Parts: sequence; C-alpha cells; structure tokens
Amino acid sequence: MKTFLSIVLFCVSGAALATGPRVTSALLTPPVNEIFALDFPAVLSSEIADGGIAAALITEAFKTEQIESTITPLPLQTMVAYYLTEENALGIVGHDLNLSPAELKNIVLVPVLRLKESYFYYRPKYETLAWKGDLAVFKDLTVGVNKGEDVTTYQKAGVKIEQERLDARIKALIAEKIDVLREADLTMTNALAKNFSGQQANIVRLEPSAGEAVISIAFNKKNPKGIVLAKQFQQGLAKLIASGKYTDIIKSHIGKAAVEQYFVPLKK
Amino acid sequence: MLKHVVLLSMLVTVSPSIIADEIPATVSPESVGLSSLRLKNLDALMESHITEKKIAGANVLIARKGKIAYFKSFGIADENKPMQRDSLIRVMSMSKPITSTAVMILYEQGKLLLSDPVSKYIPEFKNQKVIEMNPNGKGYKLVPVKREVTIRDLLTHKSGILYSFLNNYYHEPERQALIDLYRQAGISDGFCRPDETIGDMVKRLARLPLYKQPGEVWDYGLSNDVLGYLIEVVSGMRFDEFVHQNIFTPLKMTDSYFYVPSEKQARIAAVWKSDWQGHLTRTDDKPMIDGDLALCPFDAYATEGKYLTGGVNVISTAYDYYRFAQMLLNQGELDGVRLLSRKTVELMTATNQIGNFDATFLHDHGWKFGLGFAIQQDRGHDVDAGDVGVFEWAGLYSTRFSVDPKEQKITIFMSQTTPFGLHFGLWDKLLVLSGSAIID
Repeated sequence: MKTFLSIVLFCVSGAALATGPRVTSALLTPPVNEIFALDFPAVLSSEIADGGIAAALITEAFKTEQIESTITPLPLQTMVAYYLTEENALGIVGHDLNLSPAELKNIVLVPVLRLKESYFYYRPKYETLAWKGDLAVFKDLTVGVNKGEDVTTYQKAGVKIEQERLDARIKALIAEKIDVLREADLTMTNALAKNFSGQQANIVRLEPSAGEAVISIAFNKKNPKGIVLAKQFQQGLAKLIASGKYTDIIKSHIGKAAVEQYFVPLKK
Repeated sequence: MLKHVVLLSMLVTVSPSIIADEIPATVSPESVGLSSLRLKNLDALMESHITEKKIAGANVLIARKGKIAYFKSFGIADENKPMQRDSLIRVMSMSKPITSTAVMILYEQGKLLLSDPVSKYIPEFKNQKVIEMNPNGKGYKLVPVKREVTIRDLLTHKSGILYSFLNNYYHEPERQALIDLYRQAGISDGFCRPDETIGDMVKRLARLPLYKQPGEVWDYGLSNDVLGYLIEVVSGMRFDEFVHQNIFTPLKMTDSYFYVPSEKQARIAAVWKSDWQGHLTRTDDKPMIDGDLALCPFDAYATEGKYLTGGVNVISTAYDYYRFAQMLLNQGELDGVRLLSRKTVELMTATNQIGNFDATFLHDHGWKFGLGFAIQQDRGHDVDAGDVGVFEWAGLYSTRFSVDPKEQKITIFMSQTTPFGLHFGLWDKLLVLSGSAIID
C-alpha cells in the first residue's frame, strides 16, 4: 500500500511539474546574506567567474565562520548606495563608496583588499611628467579619476578633475582630453590588455605609486544582522590571513609573482 | 556638389547601374503578375525625392513569386559615386530579424526554449529589479520582478529593457530615471560601437533595473543586443561567426557583414543628413549627438571590432536582404537550403505574441509584433501594408522591408538618410505603388 501511494504521489508530482508554469517567482532563489558590491574591474566584477579576488576573499572569510553569503556586483555607485540607504541591505562593498558623514555613522567599515594605485599618462602627448609624489606637478592639468572619489586634495592643488568610468577615462587620455588618469595598477593593466591592446605601449605608469585603493565592506548597523555579521566577518578574515589562505586566493587569481606588484599587504 | 546628386540620379535611372555578378537579372514584371507601366510610378516617386534633394540615393527592390521584378538604384551613394545595386548599406535595426532568426535556429536545434529564463544562460539576469517611482515623486524604489525575463520576452520586446534614444520622445519619470542609470553605467544603444564586447555591456545591463515587469510592457529596446550575446553563450561561437555560418553563408548573402572587409569598403554608402526640405549634407567622422541619441555612421568603415550587437550591427545590400526576406517568405527555405521549418516561421509571424499591446512604434494600432518584426493584424487602421499578415521592419538610417505572404511580394527600400522619422511618407507611398502594381 505504501509503495502504491508513493507511486501515485510520484506520478502526481511529475504531472504537476510537467504542467506547471515554466517561470515563476518560486523559481527565484532568494540570495542569502546579500552584499551589494560596486564593480571594480579585475578585482570585483561579474565579468570574472567567481566575482574576482575581492568577492572570493569575502565569500571565503564568511565561510571560515560557517556563514553563507552572496555578493551581487552592481555597475553603479548610486545603485549600491540605494540598497544601503533605501533597502537597509546587510552591507555594501567597494572603493570610493562616497558615503555621507551620516551614512558613515551607521556602518562598520572593514578593509578587505589594498591595491597599489598609480598615475598614467599618454606618451604621444608628454615625453615624461615630473611626478615625484606631489600633486602640485599636475597644477592646471586635467586628471581623470573614478566616479565617487574624493577630489578635495586635487582641488586644493589646482588640478582640474574629470570623473568617469575607466574605459571612458582611457579613451579621454588617448584623445588627449585629459592629461593624466589615476587607477589601480591591476585594473589598468587588465583594461589596457582587454580593450586597448594597441595602445599599451603608449600609456605610461608614473613612479612612484599614487597611493592605495582600499576595497572595504561597509556593514550596515541598521540591518538586524549587520553588527553581528561584521564581527564574525572580521574574525573570519583574520583567520584567513593568519592561515595564509588570503594570499593563496590572490595568487590563484593573478599568479604568485604579481602579488607584490599589485597589492599592499592587509594587516591582521 | 548637390548638382551631382541630380545628374547622377538621372544617369543611374536612365542606364542600368553596374550589376554585381551574383545579382540575377530582373524578370519581366508581367511574368510575376506586376505591371511594368504601373511600376514606372515608382521611378517617378523616387526621382522626385532625389531631385528635391530629400534623399541622396536609394535602392528599391520589388520581388514577387520568388523573382525580382524591379530593382533600381537612384541618386548617389557618396560624393561622386552613384548608388549601385551592390552598394553596402547600414541596415541598422533590420539586423534584428536576422538575430531573431539566429535564435530560432538554436531553438530548432533544441539548444533553448523560448520559455527559458534568460538567466539560465546569462546568470546576471537572475533576481532582477524593476524601477518604480516613489509616490511623492522623489526618487525611486526597486521592486523584485514577478517573473524572470524569458527569451520570448526578448524576441517580442516585452522584456522591460529600453533604448536610451527613445527618452528623447517619451517623457516619463521612470524612463528618465532608468536612462540616467544606463548613461552612468555606459550602456550604449549600439549606434556608436563601444570598445568592449557585447557580453560586457549585456552583463552590466542585466544588473540595472527593468523599466516595467517582464511581459507587462511592449517597449522597443536593447533586447536583440542581449539575444546576440545569448547566442554566443548558447552556441559557444562569436555572434558574428554564428550568423555568417548559419545564415549569411547558406543564404549566399555574400555582401553581408558585421565589419566590412577592406576590399569592399569603397562600396559603403554614406549617410546623409536631410531636413526633407532640400538641405542634404553628407555626415562626417564625428558622432552626431541629439539628447539621448548618439549616431556614428562612420563606424561602418571599421574593418574589425569586437562589439557585435544583435540590434543594429549588420551592413548588407538590398539584394542580400532580399534573399533573407525571401527565405522567410518561403517559410524557412531558399534555393534548396532550409534555415528554419515552416512551423517556426509560422510562430515568428504569429500575431498573438504581444497580447493586447499594439506595435505602434513604427506602425499603428492593428499591428502586432512577432518574433522579430511587426505584423499587420487588420486593415482598419491608417498604416496599411496591403494585407493582413504582412510583416515588416526598418532601420534607423531609413531602410525598410516588407513581406506580403498572401501576394508573395517583397518590397525593400534602402537609403542612408537621417533623421529616420522623415522618410515615413515616402515608404508608405512606395508600398502603395508596389501593391498597386499587382495585376493578377
């Protein structure tokens, strides 16, 4: 009798599947512990299979604490900010998140990755530029920086600013509409190889480094899980660094030799 | 220079233009039930538009019962170059039916279902949101989709994915807010080809909100661009290679390209800016920006590139496009080569794909949208293509095609004129003259 019932139930459920709607909201799997991330090409992007180095590190740090997480990359800072402020998201990830002082009070900021940043110029326009680490050299020149980046130091130094997406900045550099652009070395290397391979030799990196781009998670204190998960994430990240797995993940993405070239070590 | 337009047009229409080897001779119109005398009305119509400098040049092709009965070139293709039958034309949105056909080839191979959610192939389409303005008019909220966008939604433009340039014409807060996001995210309509792959653009687009819930809107947009990338994912081939291998080569469309090779570049017709009042200017190598519309006709001179849009990429000839249209009219077959089954072409041209919406974008009420083109559903409205069941689409530089299955008639008009909206009267008249030449 039991077997008979099982067969009947099996047939009924099969029939239901066969005649049921192909696409329903029930088929959508709600993301667990969703964190919205601002695209940072080559490091944090849906264009990379596992979401990139930063996404892999975040996922692994949570996993160390037996916590599932979902990183949702978004192309726009405005959308990332929307999820934080309007939908009370658990957290957001990125560099240059452009948060207001009021928003900063409501987050726990945890740095995840530190990347070397440089200025780049276009050789056909300038033979060289006398950059020694002081922005005064760029006075009256136009520097292209990321959207959302704090530009007050440039303004104080009398530097003109253009804020655009990276591809648009590279195009502007080649078109000689801007003089210099600032970007993470790894991101720039990838962008030139991917979309501007014919111009790689003409776009020159200035020594010394311009500084660092720090990719952080901003946990939302207003989200019921925000503070607890921030603490657990910090623990997980510390374990990841201590075990050496943190560096292994980076190496697995870009190779052992490139780690020092592109990254600044993240302290425990 | 414009004197040349008139002189050349006279030369071209008096003596037959140089015909490419592969283009067959036209048949006697009477042999396919068309009147030679009545078709002369077409000559007069076209010549008047050239003389009045409304357009610089055009190719017009009319075929019936599988034979070309009228194929003439008028005016010039470029400065000091007459329009030729084999002039290469940016067919722009007439690329969309080609992309739809490519999707249906994969459908017939069992590689996909029209009911499949797009996220099955492009994961970025999972858990999409729809933009909704807040009731107080300040800002927007993003609400989850009730169901995912399907391949059929993309084919029928019911996906909620927009074109930016239509923001110039339709003024609504949701559209404006969404197009602002498109702009910030570098989403291109494809009329100026960006330096990236179509996949990069589509993945960014997928993570932006939709304009309306999938299936609850009919709005012309970038859906075919998404389909182009979907074809790459499903087939494992570059989109242009898939189209060449599965459509252009079997149909012997030897002059159809995504990027025109250098040896054929000289045949590319220039795009002309016309005010339809006698002021005609050849466009140059600068982008033409008008609000949210950005046009780069000079992109056609690139011999290679990686941006492959399913919406507007193809450059072709009137004859090649005729071969594509004839394949559809023949319900999937041409010269013994079958691309699609009769059943699939019937599905593509079925008029019940968009429910209660009407395809009024280029046509009128009484027009529906199938899987790649608009289809006339009744004869009770102002835009009439001659029969119920006629299917048509157009391209942004004033190109059109019309297939009348009942009369077995194909009409193709290819000019390279901007802005698009001004040529509608000419096309409508051309279609009337093409229909009124039927004598059987």
